[in-house]
Amino acid sequence: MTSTRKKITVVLLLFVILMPFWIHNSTDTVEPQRITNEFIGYYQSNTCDISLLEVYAKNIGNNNNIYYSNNYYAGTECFGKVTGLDKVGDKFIVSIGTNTSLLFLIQSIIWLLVIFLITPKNIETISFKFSMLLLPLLFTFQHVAESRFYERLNIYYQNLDMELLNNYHLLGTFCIYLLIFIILNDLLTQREEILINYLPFAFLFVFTLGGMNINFFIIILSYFGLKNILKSEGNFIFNCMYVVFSFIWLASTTRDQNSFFDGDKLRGFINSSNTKLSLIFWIVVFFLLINGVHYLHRHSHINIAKLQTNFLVTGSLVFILGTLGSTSSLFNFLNSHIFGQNKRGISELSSIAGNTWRGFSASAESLGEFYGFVLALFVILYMKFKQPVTRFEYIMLGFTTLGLYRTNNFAVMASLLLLIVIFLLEKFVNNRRIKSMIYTLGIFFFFLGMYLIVNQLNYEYLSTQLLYEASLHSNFFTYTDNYGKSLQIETLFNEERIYYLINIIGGDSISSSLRTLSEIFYQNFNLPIVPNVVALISTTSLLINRSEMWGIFIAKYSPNTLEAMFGYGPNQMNGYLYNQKVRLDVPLDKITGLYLPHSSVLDILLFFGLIGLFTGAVFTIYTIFNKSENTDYKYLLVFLLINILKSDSMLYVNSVMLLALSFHLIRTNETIIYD
Amino acid sequence: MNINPITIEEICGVNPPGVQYVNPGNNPNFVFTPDVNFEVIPLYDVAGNVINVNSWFECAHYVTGGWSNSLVVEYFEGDKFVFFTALSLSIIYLIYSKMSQKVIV
Repeated sequence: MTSTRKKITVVLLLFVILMPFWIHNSTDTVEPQRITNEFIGYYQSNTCDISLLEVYAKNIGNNNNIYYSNNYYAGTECFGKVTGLDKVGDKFIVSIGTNTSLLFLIQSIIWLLVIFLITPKNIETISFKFSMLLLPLLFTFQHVAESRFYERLNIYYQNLDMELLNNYHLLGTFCIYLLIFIILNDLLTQREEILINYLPFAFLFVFTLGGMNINFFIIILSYFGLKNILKSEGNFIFNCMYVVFSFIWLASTTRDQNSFFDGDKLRGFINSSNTKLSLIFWIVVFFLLINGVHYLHRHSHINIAKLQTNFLVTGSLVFILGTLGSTSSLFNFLNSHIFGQNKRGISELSSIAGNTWRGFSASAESLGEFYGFVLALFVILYMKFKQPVTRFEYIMLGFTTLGLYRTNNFAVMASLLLLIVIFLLEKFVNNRRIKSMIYTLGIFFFFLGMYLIVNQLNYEYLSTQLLYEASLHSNFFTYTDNYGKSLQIETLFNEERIYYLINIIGGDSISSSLRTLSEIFYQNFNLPIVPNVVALISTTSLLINRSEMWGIFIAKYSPNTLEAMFGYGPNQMNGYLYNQKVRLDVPLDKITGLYLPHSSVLDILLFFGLIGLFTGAVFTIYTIFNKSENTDYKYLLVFLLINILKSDSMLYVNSVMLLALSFHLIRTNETIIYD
Repeated sequence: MNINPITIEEICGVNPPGVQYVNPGNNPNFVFTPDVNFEVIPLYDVAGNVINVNSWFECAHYVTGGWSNSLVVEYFEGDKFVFFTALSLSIIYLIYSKMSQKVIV
């Protein structure tokens, strides 16, 4: 029965995936042609007639460089059909209509069917409660709150200016959300206990809705969040704190109507606007999200064997599909729709930025952390439960290791190796004397290495490098170009007139964070042995290759006191991106690029301020040092924490969920057994 | 194109006495004679092109060729399509869900 049900679901899935890109009028005279220079005009004048699969079939064996790109701003009648053809360099870019509203409906159906494939734990269903109507209303409200985002990407977009009963865009959006929540109510009720075991698939099914700034996981977690609140199971202290934070964000932080962030690779989990309305939306959504995670933490039952297999399967599939997407333009296009990528997969097998290959993922760093997590979990479980490894698992391990190798994430590889060594030491060396000797030796060599580096690179250079980089990207010496600016800054740094540069020349034109850091660096009191905190961060940034990125962050981050304490608000980056005028000292072609903070600590600082960061740190330290039935999983948490210090992974939903899982593994009351 | 005589009458009015519409064929020298008693009517084709006709015969000829007296821009109302599809799917699922619950009970 189950097998038949799954077969029917898979057939339905294939139908929903392929049909929209195949439908065409076979009786018309407009035939697909080989994509060459002479047919550019043909495709430009015959729009919305030829389907994607027709063009693809016609061009099998065509050696020209063809890329299928999305055109979200097309009507539904053009869905899945060619809406234009352009040639950029030697690349033919075929524009395929993917109307945002219709794509929303299609992707939702695909992903609901995917969830349906998970065998339910029970067949219990609960009626759709009236209070659940709040969720479709909330998510439809986003289309009003983030109007600048949606009006660019949907031809049918209508704001509240239009009479509501004639506003089929908003009504349609509401109806799709209603459909989603009605179905989710059944699907999730039957699967809420076991859903956690399928979390690894979040790295395969990224679930970002095409042309929209929302992620399907947020929709799912919001459902659980509302359930948590309705059942009064929320954490009282957290909820009270969040209300205080929300009040401050709404009442005191700086907002504007103009700034706009298109989301780029963060689409689906970032506030695109800096208005009060969009802030309200993200405050409520984040509240539901945390409550949703809390609900799942209380109701989930881990099946560690299943979880491990799913991690290995996902790791392998992400690598295989990423490779397929790199070699086939059709797979590259379909991957983005089926799996909801927030950025199109890489379209070639060669690495980007000289070294990394992000393949399927929007971020090579977060994908590297995922691969590392899979390998670390495998080692821990193997050592803990001594289960034999099957041939299939060996193959999947191979793909995962290859994936990690291609992301070229040295930090992940080094921290993985270090933690595995410590784990094995703890597991197999029972003699305390030998253990402490090994640790002492390790710490000794670490400090020896540090000493040699500091001596070789010069302490003065190491301690001021961060301030130097921040100054380079600040708006100093506006009368001269970047080269002139850098020469003057270098001279002042060499003359040790840094305080003069930042506080006298810079004055009010530079960021408040740069001013504050320079004041801390030049504080009047000096504690012996204890290093200056700015010098320490500067040295660390240089050693982990983050001094430029963190320098840019300091140059741009200019909060007022309240914003520094409480942040700009959940997933709100506009204040950071646009409030402070900077002059980046980067090559011209990179000047308009997106410069993220390159540390999840800094991301949290942006959103929740020092108080939020401190609260999170206390919670994390408590989790690590508190006694737990499942101590071994603490290695996974530490592994992730080390790596997110230098990556922006907390800006991606799947990485946040991975971190939440590692907390859950430690904090869960159930004893995790391998069955 | 075969056009119902009633449609011609609706657009061009009743044919004047003694005038019947006969297709002039592909004669390149054929000229429509203006009728001073005929009130000029603008006609439109599907592409939005416009022409003023000066006689009942000329009007009938263009109407037979698919022209009309109203500019009808036909476009697919995708927003309505999405709305009604989502609404229908929601209702169908709710009914299915209710029925399957009854079966389980």
